[in-house]
Amino acid sequence: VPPTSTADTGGTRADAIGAHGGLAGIVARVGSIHPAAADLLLFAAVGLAYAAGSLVAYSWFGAYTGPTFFPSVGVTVGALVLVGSGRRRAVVLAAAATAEICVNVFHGGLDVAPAAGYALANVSEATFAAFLIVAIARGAPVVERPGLGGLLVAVLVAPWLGGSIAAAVTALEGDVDAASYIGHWWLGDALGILLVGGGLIAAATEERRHGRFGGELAALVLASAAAAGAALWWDVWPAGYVPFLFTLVAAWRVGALGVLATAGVAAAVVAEAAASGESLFSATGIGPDAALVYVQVTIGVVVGTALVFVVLLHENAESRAELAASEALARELANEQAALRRVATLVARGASSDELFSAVADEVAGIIDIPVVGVQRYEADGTFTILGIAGQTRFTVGSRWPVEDDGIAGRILATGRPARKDDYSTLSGPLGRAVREDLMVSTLGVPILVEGGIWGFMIAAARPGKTIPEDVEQRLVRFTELVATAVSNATTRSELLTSRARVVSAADETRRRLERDLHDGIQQWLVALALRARKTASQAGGEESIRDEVSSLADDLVAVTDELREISRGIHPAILTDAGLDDALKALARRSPVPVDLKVDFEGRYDPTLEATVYYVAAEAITNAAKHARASSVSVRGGRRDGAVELVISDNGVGGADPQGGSGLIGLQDRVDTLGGAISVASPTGAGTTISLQLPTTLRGEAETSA
Amino acid sequence: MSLRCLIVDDSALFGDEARGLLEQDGMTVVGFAASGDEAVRLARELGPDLALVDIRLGAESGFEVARRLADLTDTASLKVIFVSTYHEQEFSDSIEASDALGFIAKTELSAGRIRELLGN
Repeated sequence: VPPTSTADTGGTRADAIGAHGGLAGIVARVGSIHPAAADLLLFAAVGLAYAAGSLVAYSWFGAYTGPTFFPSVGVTVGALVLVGSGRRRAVVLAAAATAEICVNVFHGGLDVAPAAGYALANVSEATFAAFLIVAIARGAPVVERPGLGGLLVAVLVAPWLGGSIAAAVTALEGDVDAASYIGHWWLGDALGILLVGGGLIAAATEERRHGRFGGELAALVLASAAAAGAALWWDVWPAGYVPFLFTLVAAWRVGALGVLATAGVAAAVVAEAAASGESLFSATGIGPDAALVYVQVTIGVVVGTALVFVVLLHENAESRAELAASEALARELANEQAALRRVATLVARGASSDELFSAVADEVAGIIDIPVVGVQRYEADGTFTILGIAGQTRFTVGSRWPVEDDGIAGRILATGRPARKDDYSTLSGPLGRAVREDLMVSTLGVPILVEGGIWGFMIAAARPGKTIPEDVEQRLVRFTELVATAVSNATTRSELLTSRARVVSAADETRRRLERDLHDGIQQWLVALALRARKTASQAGGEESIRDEVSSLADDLVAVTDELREISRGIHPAILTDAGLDDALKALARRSPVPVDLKVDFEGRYDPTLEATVYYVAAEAITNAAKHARASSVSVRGGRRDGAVELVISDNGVGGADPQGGSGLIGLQDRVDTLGGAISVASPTGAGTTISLQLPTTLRGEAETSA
Repeated sequence: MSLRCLIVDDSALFGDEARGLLEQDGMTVVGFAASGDEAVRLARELGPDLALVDIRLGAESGFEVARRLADLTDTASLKVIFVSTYHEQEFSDSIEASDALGFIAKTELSAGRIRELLGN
C-alpha cells in the first residue's frame, strides 16, 4: 500500500518539525541543492540503517522464529513518518525492501523469492504502521495524546500484517506453526516500531527542553544498560526489573526520547541474552521460550506506561507554562490599564500640559521597558518640540528639532502612520548628530492625531542590544489616543474660555460706556433742568401757585435724576472704574442696609472684568444676606495673595442657602469660570452663609492659548 | 463783596444753569473750565475764591484736579467744593481724604449750600 494521500494530509506538522533536525533535515537541505541527490542520500541512509539493524537483530537477537527485537522496521516507520513527500516515502520503502532482500540473500542465504516475500511483509507492515501513526497523530509529537495514541495503535496492530505475510511466505517454504510464528514476529517488530520508530519520531518532534537531552539522557541510558547487564549476570529474580526503573526516571527527567532510548538499550541487552537462552527472568523458573515472551511483553508494558506518564507530565507542565504565561500577560495588561487610567484621570482633570506630557512619557517608559520615550508636537516652522520625555537622554523638554524628511518625524508627518527607523548612520544635520550621540539605534514613532490633523508624535527609542518589540506600536497608539483627547480638550476649553472671556469683557465694556453716556448726557441735562426749574421758581415772584408748581417740577426732576442715578449704578458702578475695588467695596458697604464689617486691601487695579466680578459677587452676597438670610451683620474680607485675589463674605443669617436655587450667584459662576477662578458657597442651616471667591490675576484663557 | 466762583465741569449745560442759579443769589461766576489744565490756568489768571469741581470730569478725576488746584502756591486762599450727580456716599472716602471743603450734589446746588460749607 503506497502511503500517499492520507499520509500526506496528516504529515504537515511532522514535516515541519522533522525538517529542522536529523536525517530529514539533512535530506531537505540536500534536496534544495539537487532533488535526485537527496533521494539517493535518503535511500543510502535508510538502506544502511535497515541492513545494520537486521544484521544486529539476526546476529544478537535471533531466536528460532526470528529476532526478538527488530529495529529495522522501526527505522522504516520512523523514516516514513518524518520524510515529507510521497516520493520520499517511496524512496524509503525501496531502500527498506532492497536492504531486506540483500540481508536475506547474502546473510541468510535465502533465495530471492522468499527474500522478496519477507521484504513485502516488512514494507507492508511499516507502511501500515506509518499510515496509522500519521492518521491518528496528525503530526502531534509523541508527548501529546494523539502522538502517543498513533504510536501505540501502530505498535499493537501493524506487526500482525507483517507477521501474517511472513508466515505465509514461510509456509510456502515448509511447515510453520503459524500462530506462534505470527506471535513472535509481532512481539519483535512491535518492540522495533515502539522503541526505534517511536524514538526517531520523538527525537525529531519532541520539543527540546534545556538540559534534558545530552548528559542526563546519556547517564540514564548507560545506567539502564548496566543494570540490564548486571541483572543478567546476577540472575536473581527482582533484579530483572531494575533496568526499567531508569526508564521511568527518564520519563520524568527527559521525556519520550529518554523512555525509548533507555528501554531500547535495556531491550537490546536482554534480547541479546534471551536469544542465547539466557533470560532476565530465568530465576523465576519459566522456560526460555516463555521467558522470551515475558521479556518482550514486560518491555512493551513498561515503555507504554512510561510514555503515558510522559504525556501526563508534559500536559501538566504545558498547562502550568500556559498559566504562567497568561498570568504574566494579565499582569502586563493590568499594568498598562493602570497606567492608561492614571493618564486618563489627568486628562479628565484637565491637568496642565507640562504635567500631562511628562506623565505620559513616564508611564509608557514604565510599562514598555524601552530606555527613552518622548512626546513631541509639530510646529508651524518645520520643527518639532519635545513636550515630555522619560529616560536617560540628551534630548530635553522644550528643545526644538528640525523635521528631517528621512527621520521619524518627517516620515510620520508625510504619511500620518507609525514609522520605524533602525539606521541613523546617514541622518544628516543636528538631529542626526544628536541621535547618534545619544546612542539611539532603533526608534519607533506613532502619530498623535488631533481632530484629523497630525498634531505630534510619540517616540520610543532603543539603545544597542535592545530591540523594540512588535506590540509596542499598539501600546503607544493607546496612549497617543489619550494625549489627542487631552490636547483636543485643552484646545476646545481654551478656545471656549477665551471666547467666553471676550463675551463677558465686551458686555462689561458696553455697560461701562452706557453708564458713562447716561451720566454725561441725560443725567447732566436733567440736573440742568432741575436747576433751571428751581431758578424759575425763585424768580416767579408773587405768583405763588406758579412758584409752587415750578418748585414741585424741580423736585420731580431731582427725583428722576436720583432714580436714573440708581439705575446707572446698577448698570455699572462708576466708582469701580474711577477708584478701584477698595473704594468701590467701601461704597457698597456704606449703602448696605445691614452693617458691614469690611476689611479689604486689593492694592491697586486689575483687569476691569476681574474687578467687576469681585464687585458683583460682593454686591450679590450682601444683598442676599440682607434679603434672604435675614442677617444682622456681614463680614467682608479681601485682598491679593500669591497671584490671586480672594474675597470671603460671611453673614450671621439663617444659612441653608442653595447655591443652585436661582440666586444671582449662578450667573456669577459663569463669570468666575471665565476668569479661571473658583467660587464656593457654604451655607449650613442656622449657621450663616460664607461665600469664597478666588480669581487668578491673569486671565487663564489667555495664558493657555499657547499651550 | 460777592464770592468769585470758578466752575470746573465738562458739561456746559450744567455750567450755564449753575451760573444762572448762583448769580441770582449774588455770587459771581468768573469762569468755566472743562479740564484740569484749563482749571489750573483759569485759577491762576482769575484768582477765584472758590472752585466747584465735578468729581467726574470727562476722563479726568475731579479729585486729581482738586489736588492740582490745592498745590497752586499763588492761590492759597482758593477753596474747593466737589459737585457731582453721584451720591455723596459713593465717593465719601475720597472726599474726606481731600483738602476740599465738602460735597454738594448737583441737584442740591445753591448759593446757600455753598455759604453753609464756607461757613464751617
